[in-house]
Amino acid sequence: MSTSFSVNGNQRTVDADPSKPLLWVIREDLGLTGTKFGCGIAQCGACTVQIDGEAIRSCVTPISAVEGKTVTTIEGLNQGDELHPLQQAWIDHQVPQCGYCQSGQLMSASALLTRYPNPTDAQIDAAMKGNICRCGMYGRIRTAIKSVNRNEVASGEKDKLYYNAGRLDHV
Amino acid sequence: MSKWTRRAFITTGVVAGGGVMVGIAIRPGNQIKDLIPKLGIAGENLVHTYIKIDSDNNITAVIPHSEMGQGVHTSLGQMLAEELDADWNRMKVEEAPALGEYASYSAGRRYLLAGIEFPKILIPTVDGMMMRVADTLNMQITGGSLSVRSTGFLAMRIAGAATREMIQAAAAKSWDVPVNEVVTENSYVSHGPTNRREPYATFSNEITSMTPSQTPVFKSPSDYKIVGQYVPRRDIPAKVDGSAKLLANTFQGATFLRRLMGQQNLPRTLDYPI
Repeated sequence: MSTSFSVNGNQRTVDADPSKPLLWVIREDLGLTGTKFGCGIAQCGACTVQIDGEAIRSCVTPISAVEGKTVTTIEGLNQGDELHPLQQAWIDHQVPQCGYCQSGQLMSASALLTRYPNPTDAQIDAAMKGNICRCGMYGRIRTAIKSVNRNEVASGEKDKLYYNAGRLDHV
Repeated sequence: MSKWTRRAFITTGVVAGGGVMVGIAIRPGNQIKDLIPKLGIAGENLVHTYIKIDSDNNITAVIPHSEMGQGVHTSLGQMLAEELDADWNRMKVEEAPALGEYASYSAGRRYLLAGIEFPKILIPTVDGMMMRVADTLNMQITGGSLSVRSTGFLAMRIAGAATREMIQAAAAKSWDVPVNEVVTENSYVSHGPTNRREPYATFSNEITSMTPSQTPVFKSPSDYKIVGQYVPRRDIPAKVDGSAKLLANTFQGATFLRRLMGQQNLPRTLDYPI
């Protein structure tokens, strides 16, 4: 059965079993491998993408549910040649270690910033708690999210922020 | 044996002589010629197992360990760049393929033969032997603190310093000046008294036929400019736009994982027909 939806601004039609999870359509049928398989049961957040701007777990979303909708993956987060401000913040704060969960982290974080441009700690916790990072980069993730719209990364202070990432409140 | 008989003397001489010959034969020598066809190099010169230089003087460090977020592509690149006197800001790093030439040979001197001080003349033989052992055992390992402590100290620094020495020798020969007056800095080689300065790339063709030293002279740590500095990790940009090639991307993802996890009682999400 064929399903039509928009992926990162391109209209695509996929011929797949309607119960096939969106994750595997993205990775296998569309060849976009930036989105990762983690647990397969919506418990880790590695497969997070956005449907119409909402962060969802693509591993448990059947392809039939996205007919006519707009899907954004990590490959569509940047704006043309420009990195999304969150991607730049991720680099400035040296957020990823192994990197496996980071596509999902960024998709959850960008959905959060769309809703709350200056999120509180509680809002960050609520939006990000479904994204697990086994390397434990939560402190840097939080610091990077907060920095985006608060202009906290003064260029001369980057080293300080890097070394204190996650402990900014106590600096 | 109480005293040397003529026969014993000759026998010992033959054994020792044979040993020297085997010792020389087992030295690493120039590995580039065998390696280039395997790597499929185009538009760059492979000047050492671990170093490529392109015509625009961009240098690439080939790192024989996997980057898993421990930052090893950056730290080993720094160690190589330091001894090579390379321009870190224009230096690239890439992961070595799984090939015998990139086996973890330096673990030999670092761990297996730890504490043994070899005379300088024996080091190429010991390293050559360990290269064969590591190659035979398919021992290309990332783990056990091997990367910085053994590959970094005893392979990347050697590669950087040996390549710098080859560039200095090639420049000295080309300019007809004493090699000890030839200075290297930021991927450029220069000679003050005759006011000459060339990018490393100028001599990259010439040095591919030289045999790199396994016992080059290292810098004094007090002269370090790159090692010991905070530098952003080189693997991070690819990890924020989904382009990083992670292990899961090298398999036919779903098929592989379904088979792997098929034993477990996972929900139906993975159980669709392809």
